Amino acid sequence: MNILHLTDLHIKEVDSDFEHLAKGYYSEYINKLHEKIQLDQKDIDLIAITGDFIEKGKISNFSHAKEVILYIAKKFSCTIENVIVCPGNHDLQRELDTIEKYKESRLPFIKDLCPEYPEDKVIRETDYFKLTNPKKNTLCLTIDSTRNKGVNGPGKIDISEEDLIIREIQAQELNSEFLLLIATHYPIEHFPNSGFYSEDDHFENHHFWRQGERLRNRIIENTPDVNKLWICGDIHLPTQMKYGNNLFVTTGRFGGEVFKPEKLVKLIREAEDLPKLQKEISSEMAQYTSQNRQAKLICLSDQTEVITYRFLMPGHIENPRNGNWETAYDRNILEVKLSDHISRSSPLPKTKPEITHEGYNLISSSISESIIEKVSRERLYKFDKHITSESLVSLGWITIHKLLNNRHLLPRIIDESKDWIKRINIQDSEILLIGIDYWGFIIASNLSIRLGIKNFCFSSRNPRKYDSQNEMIPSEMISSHITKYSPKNVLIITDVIGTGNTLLKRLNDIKDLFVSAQISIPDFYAITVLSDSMNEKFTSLKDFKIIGSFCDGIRIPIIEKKRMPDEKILQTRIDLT
Amino acid sequence: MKEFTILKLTNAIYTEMRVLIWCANGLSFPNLIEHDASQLLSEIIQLYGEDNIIYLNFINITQIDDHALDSFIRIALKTKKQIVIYNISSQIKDNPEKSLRKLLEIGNLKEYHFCPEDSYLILGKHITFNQKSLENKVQFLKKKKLEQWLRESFTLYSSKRRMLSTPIMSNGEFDAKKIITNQDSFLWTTLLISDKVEFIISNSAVAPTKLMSVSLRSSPFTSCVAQILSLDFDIIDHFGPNFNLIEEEISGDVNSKMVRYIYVGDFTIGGTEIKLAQLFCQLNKCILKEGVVIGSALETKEYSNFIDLESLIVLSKIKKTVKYKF
Repeated sequence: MNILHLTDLHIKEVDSDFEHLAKGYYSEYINKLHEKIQLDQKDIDLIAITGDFIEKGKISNFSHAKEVILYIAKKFSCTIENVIVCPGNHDLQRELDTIEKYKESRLPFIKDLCPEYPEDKVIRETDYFKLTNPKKNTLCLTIDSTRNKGVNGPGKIDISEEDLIIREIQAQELNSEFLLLIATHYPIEHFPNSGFYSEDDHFENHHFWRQGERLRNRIIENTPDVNKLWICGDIHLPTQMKYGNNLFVTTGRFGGEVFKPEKLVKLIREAEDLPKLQKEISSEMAQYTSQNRQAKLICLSDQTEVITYRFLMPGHIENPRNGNWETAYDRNILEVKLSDHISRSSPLPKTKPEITHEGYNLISSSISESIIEKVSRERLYKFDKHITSESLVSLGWITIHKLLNNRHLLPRIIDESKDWIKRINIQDSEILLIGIDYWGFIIASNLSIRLGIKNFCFSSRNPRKYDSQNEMIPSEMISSHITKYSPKNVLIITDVIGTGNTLLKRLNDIKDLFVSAQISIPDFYAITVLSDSMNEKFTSLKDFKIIGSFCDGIRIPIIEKKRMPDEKILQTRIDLT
Repeated sequence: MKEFTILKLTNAIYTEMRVLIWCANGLSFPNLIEHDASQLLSEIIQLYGEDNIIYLNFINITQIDDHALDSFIRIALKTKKQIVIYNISSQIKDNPEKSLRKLLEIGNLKEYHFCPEDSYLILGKHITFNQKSLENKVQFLKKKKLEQWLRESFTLYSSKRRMLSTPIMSNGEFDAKKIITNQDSFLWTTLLISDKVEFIISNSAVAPTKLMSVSLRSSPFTSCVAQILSLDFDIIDHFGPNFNLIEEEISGDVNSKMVRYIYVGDFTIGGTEIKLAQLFCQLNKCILKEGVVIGSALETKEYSNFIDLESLIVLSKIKKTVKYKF
């Protein structure tokens, strides 16, 4: 079964030229998505849209939102009972959203937006949930997670209301052939790579449906053999995770306002000078173009697959409608291991990072994709003879300077490195942070500000020919730091791991410093921008506990120097020895 | 709490919102206040606001994220500390939904005073605020700190030896790596360089659009300044102290033609690295006329025959014992 998940349409101005779901354009936008999905040869069985159809309670937009939904259904050849919706926090009349008037505040959503299902498809409907049976062996439960909303955050649900939901589900006598789809606007589970794991609970308080946790656990307990798909929106983040036969999916926003040219014109008119204008434009763009538009296809069969589609908007000078859907390659489903005791009062324990290749942990699939795209688009890959050591030649070379010398990729790499360090459970204060060569040093120094710790640098070039006394190991600065702080972890940052020889040498050099200082050998970790795990045959990096890589998807073949043609036949392009 | 984000004055604490943004949220959006930066500000207020006025410089801040300042306003409401926010940009002042005035109203804060034109704001009891006087004190303090860090980075040799990346002999050497190693010196030095670069850009008839550095030690500064000012940058990996440029740096590409660069460096003694940078530019038909360094051996006018150089410090003024042999 294939389910199309959309969420957070945020329709604000139906006549806008800069909303993808505005009149006169939405069909083109949806058609493009349809074409993209057709290329993947997938038919859609169900469409689920998890709330925030309109922006900030603008109920006059519901009729247009319904028109959009019906078009989506028609385009993907789904009959109306196969279109599942639930309300979001923007879909109600905010001034009425009190405990006494919550029904009234949601009336426009129910009357003007909700699809009218055939009677025989609706099992039970109340003011806070709907249970339907759109097709054979499929049950859809949509819950209003915004109800009885607190001052700033998701809603409440009583235990008696939960009892009703559980009873209705039990009455269906589900078995392992069934799919139970549960749709809520607010997330009902903590997605590990989300703001739910930030240091304070602000994000969680505003976006996590804490009151729904008990219901979630009860549903899981009461349907142990049933495959369940939990979908949500709100956090504008595409990610997925699973445990047992529960798959949790959330998707980024499908619509909403983008940058308007009249604002650009106003900035240009009022600009005092070009540099200031550039800054102002950049600042405006940051607000909008950072938010991709997304859709997700969840394919449930023998092999579960989740495909994220992203609508890439062009640069800010062009109309943001002039973009295209592309596959975001964010297909990894994080598998979480739980103890037998399902009920949890606290968020999931931090999970082990996913290992996509032997020993290399992919830090961010979206950055990996960005790197591959940039290398391809700007032709940064050179295939030639590059001597990297006395005995080895690298046939591939990526101009790392041109890959990272812009203000888009580098800050993302720093941010994700910081988050990755947190995910793998190393305490900031116990890290000895070392950067190798230019880009290792740049990343390490940037990280040191984010983590609030010192950083150090080594060069890895030929120490006699290229480096001065100060660059060579042993380093007094590092030695005295080791003696004073006895760090338990060493994190080495580098730009490329080819054979791994340089990295291993540095590890051994640093180990020697610990031995000299008579301090216990720490755990070693590494972060690299590029790697090729297929070159692991040259050097074993097992002494590293985990190596995080931003991109392991580009092959950098390395062969023995003696197998290369003579210099007279093929000249060396770069010699690092 | 990240203590390196503040500077201590007499009975006062100074910090900059861009510093808190950098530490808390990184440099993806250096002009945008998000929740974490506000949270860090709240921690500073709680820790230091008891007996100190908090001066918060809003320089280059143009946006405030939804609900970003909630935690700050809650703390301000609860603690009633004296906080002065100044250099408020017009983008914030004129924003109907997110001006500071509006946010304070929504947050039910009662005790605050805006100066005429809303360019600064005092929370808590009213005090006389002289922005020029404060800025002078802060500049003086930053310069003093830089001098101290530079002195600490200096190594005296027993005899003259050839320096890194230049054929000049010296009896001692300043090492920018020691400035980069520590978060406080790295952060505040980077901001000093960034302000100089911004000054050059805003006063140029044809504004440079890219930064360039040619040494290992200057590359962290260059990368951060580039992110802070939303510029791209080029690192020329020249395998110093030998001057072998990697091939692709020489070949360049179409996009680099006619780019106007600003050079960012750590220390300039004879100007070898600057000349290397200019060589690269000539080979690639680009322009390099201006530069910023942390320290220069000589007064910057001595380099004016090949570059308009801004230097944070003239090195001989802080270390009189250093001697160079050209």
